[in-house]
Amino acid sequence: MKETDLHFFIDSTVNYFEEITGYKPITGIPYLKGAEPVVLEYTGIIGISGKRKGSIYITASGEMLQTLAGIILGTKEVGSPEIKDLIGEVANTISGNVRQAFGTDFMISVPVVVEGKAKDIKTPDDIQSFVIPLTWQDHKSFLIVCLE
Amino acid sequence: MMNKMQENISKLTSDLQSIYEDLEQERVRTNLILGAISEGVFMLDRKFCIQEGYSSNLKDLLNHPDLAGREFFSLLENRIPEDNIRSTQEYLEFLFRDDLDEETLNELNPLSKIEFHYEDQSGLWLSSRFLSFIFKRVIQDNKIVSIICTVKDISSEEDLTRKLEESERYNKKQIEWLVNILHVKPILLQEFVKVVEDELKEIDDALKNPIDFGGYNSVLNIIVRAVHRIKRNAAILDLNFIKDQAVRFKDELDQIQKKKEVSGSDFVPIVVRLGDIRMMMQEIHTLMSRVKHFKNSLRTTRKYEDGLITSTISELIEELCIETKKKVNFKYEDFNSEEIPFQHQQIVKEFLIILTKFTILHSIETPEQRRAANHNPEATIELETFNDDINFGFKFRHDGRLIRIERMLQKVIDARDAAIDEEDPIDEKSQLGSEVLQLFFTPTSNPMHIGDVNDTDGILQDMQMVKKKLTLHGGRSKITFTSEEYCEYTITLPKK
Repeated sequence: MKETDLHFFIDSTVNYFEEITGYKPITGIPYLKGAEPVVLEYTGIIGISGKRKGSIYITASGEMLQTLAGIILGTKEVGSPEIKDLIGEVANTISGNVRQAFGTDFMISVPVVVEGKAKDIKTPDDIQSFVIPLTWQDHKSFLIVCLE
Repeated sequence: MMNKMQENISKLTSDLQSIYEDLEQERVRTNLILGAISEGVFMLDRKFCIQEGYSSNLKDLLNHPDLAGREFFSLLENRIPEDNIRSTQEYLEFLFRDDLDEETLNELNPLSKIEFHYEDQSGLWLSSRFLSFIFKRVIQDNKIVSIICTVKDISSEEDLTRKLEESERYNKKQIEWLVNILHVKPILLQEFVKVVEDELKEIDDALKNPIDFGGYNSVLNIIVRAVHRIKRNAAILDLNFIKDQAVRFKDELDQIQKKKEVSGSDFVPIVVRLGDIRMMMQEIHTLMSRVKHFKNSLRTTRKYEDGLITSTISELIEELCIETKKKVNFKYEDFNSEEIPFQHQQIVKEFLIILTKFTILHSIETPEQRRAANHNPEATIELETFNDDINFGFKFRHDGRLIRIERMLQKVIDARDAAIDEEDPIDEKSQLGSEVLQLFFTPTSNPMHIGDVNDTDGILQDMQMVKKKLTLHGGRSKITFTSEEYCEYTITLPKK
C-alpha cells in the first residue's frame, strides 16, 4: 500500500469526526498489525474489491459511540441497535469518501457490524494491515486498513 | 356441411396436438441441452430482461435462483464495479442499434473478462470468480429482436495468467536477490535475518507503545538506530538490496527528524516502508528455504568472505573520517577472519563496528590537534586476530588521544570492583573482567561530555546490546594500554 493511500484513509476518518461532531480526533502512530487482535466493543467492517482488494474496519468502545450518537442524534438515550447502525455508518462513510477519490472501480461492500469483543477480525493473510490509533474526546478507537 | 366442419376441426386439433407434441419434445430437448451445458446461456430482450429458457448453470454463475424476467443490470449491482455496469448498459444499447457494426462493438464489451463477486446474506463478499460474457445479436426479418449471451467461468485461466504475470514480475528481482544471497554462508544469513527481525520487532514495539518509549521523538530515534544497524549488517554481508532499502528508509527518517514538531501521521511513510521491509524479509525466508538444498554446493570462497568484514570496517572508517574531518590509517594485515568461528561471526562484526565508531568519534583527535601534540596527524586503527585450542580472539588497537579518559575510567572501575569484591567475591566481574567498557557503556556513566556527536547515544545503546550478546556467547572483553601511545581492546570468545 502506498503512503498516500494510508494518508487518505486517515484524513477521511479525521474529517468525518470533525465535520459530524466539531471535534477533531488525534491520530496516533500507525503500526503494522501483527497477530495480536485489535478489537473493541463495536466494529464496522467494509470489504473492498475491484482494482484494489482488502478491507477496512473501525473499532470503538460503546462509550465512545454513545457520546458520538448523542452528538449526532441530540439525545442521551441511545440503544445498542443505534450504536451498531452508527459504527456501520462510520465505516461506510469513510470508505465511501475514499471511493470517491479512488474511482468507481474501487468496490465497497455493505457494512458488516460485529458487536462484542471478537477474538480478532480476520484480514487477508497476504495483504498487510495497518493500524491507526485515534483518540476522539479521550476515547480510543482504531482504524485498520488492509489494502493491496 | 356440419361433418366437413367437424372433420376440419378434428384435423386442426390433431395438427395442433402434433405441433404441441413436437414443441413439447423440442422444449424437453432444449431444457436437456440447457441443463447439460456448462456455460451460462440466456437471451436479453430490448428491455434488457432475461428471457425464459436460460441454462441451469446460469443460476450458479450469477448466484440467483430465479432469473426469468430479471433486469440484467440489477444482477450486476454490487457484484462488479459501478463503472463497468454503466459501460455495459451503453454497450448493450449500442448492440440493439442496427446502424452499428457488431464486430466493432464486440471489442468494447466491458464484460469480456470481469471479476464477479459473491456475497453472503449479510452482504459480505465471500468469494469471486472471473466470468466472460459474450453477447451476440439475434436477428429476425432483418431486425435485431434480442441478444443471446453466453457466460463462461474463466477463473482457472485467469488465476494461471495472474500467477504467471506475478512470477514474471518477481522473477527478475528474485534472481537478483538470489545471486546476492548465495554468496552468504547460511549461518550468517540466518543470523542476519534474526538480527533484522529483532530490529523490526523493536521498531514495532516502539510504534505500538510510544509513551512507554519516551514519546514520538524517542521513538523516531529508536527507529533511526535500528535502521542504521540493519543497514550496517546488510553492508557487512554485501546484501545490497536490503542495504538500499535501509538507505531509503533512513532518508525518509531524516526528513521527519527535520520537522520541528512530529505528529502521529508523520509516521505514515515509516510504517509503509517498514511494511516493505517486512515483505522483503518474508521473501528472503522463502528464498532461503528454496536454496537450502543446493546452498552447500554453491559456497563462496573464504577469501571473499574475509574481505567483507575488513572492507566494511574500512568503509565505515572512511565515512566517519569524512564526517568528523579526521584522518585514520587502517591496518588489518594480521586480521584473519578465517579464524572466526561461524557462531561468533556476527558478534565480532558488531563489536568491531561499535569500537570503530566510538574510537573515531570520541578517541581520535583531528589532524590539527594531533599535530599540536606532536603526533602523526594520521591516527592508526589496527586489527588483529589470535586463537588457541580453546579460544578465539581479536584485538582492536588505536592511538587516539583520549586514552587518558579511558585510563581515568579504568581507575574508577577498579575501585568499584574492589569494593564489590569485598562484599561478594563472585560477581559479574569474573565474566566481563575489570574493563573500561563496563563503565563506558552503562546509562549511568555515559561519557556524553566527550563530544557533541549526535550518534553518541545510539552507540552507547548499541554497545550495551553487543555486550549482552558477548556475555551470552560466553565471551570476555578487556582494555589494556600497550604503551603510552596505544589503547587496546581484547575480545575473547570460546571456540565451542
